[in-house]
Amino acid sequence: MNHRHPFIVIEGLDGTGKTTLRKGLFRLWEGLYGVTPLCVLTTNFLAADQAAAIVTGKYQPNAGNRDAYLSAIAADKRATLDRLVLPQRPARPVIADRWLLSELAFFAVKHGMRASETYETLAAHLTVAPDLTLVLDLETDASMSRAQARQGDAVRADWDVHDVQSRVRETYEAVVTKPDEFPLLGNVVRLDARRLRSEVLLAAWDVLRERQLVPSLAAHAEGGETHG
Amino acid sequence: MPGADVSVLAQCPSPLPAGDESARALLEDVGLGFWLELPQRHGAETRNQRGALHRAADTAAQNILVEQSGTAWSDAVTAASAAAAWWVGFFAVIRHRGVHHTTLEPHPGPLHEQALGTAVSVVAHGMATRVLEAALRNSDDDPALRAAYCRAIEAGVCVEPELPRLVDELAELRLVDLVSTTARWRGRFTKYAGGTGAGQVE
Repeated sequence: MNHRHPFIVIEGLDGTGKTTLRKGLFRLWEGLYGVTPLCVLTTNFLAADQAAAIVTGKYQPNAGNRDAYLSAIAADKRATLDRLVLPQRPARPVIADRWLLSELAFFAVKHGMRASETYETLAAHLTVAPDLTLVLDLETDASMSRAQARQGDAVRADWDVHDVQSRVRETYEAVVTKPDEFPLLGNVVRLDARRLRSEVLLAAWDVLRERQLVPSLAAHAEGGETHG
Repeated sequence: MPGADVSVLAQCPSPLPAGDESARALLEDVGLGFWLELPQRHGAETRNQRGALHRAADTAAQNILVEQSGTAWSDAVTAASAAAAWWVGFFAVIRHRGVHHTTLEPHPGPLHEQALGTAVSVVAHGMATRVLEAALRNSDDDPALRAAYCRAIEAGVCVEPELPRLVDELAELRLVDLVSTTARWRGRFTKYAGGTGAGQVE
């Protein structure tokens, strides 16, 4: 049996607390379990020849660059898995700030593609699913309010608007209610992001414990290492 | 801080509840016996006045514990937080004899009392986190303990963006070391970048 740490994905609308949860899980793993996680983004620019297509496709999406963008992010995710996630999992957990679910929503909202269609294209390139996708769920008004209260973030006129964010949330809802159709999301768990941030972290930790994605502390203290 | 009452700054923290050997043992397990012992031994006695630093320590502990009490770990968190007030206060009292943490020049600039309150909060959270981790390694079955640990983690996440400014304001080497090494943050080891970790002044 391969002993390895988990690959965890955190998804949710802007303002739902993804980064805060990621930081909390990072500190929990590092402080309590004694292992420093690797954190990755949904796009890591590891396929250098795809960088231009990624930037253009994300920030100036149109029908003409749709397929190139989809191909580029598939390649980048493949490279992220091959060069970061898979090599690191024997040594440390990997936490991704967004992964597949966000891409399905982007192509649904920006290009009118069915989630299943986008998924089929990405799935052809990706062979590894995360162990867990945590979806932070929050009403659109609340998430937008939180996102706008942050300092330093640029407001994107074509994205940070209620209509778009609502459609993103609808796509999330449509996908996570049919997990069998999207196995590369891994096990999907929704977390109520209305709660206090510490309670969201506790809920995520409880999920990890229930699924044995964190070591038993007794075993950890004795030097054992058995992970999911 | 001209005119500051030294006795209030370095007040003796309240002792652990009588007979609470398990809390004391937990603190010893995590290497914090000295953390409590020195303030108990050297802290100033003041009859009624609870200084701002002790109020900051109390608030930090209450925010983590949220009315949880009577367990070894909750008593240990309360004690470690209270002791944080003494440690910050003590280093504040001798601050004028120290040097700036990066330039090593003497007489670091003036300091506002509010910064000391924030420093107490940061140090209290850091020590509480350490205590809670030790308690969890003994057993993670207690949901109240796990919840307290998550609150301590979140407090650390929230305060991290303020730490560089706090460190700049504290300025003096010992105070900066106290805060920057007890807090769990990315800048824990940045002091070494300036070459001050070699102990030239100490």
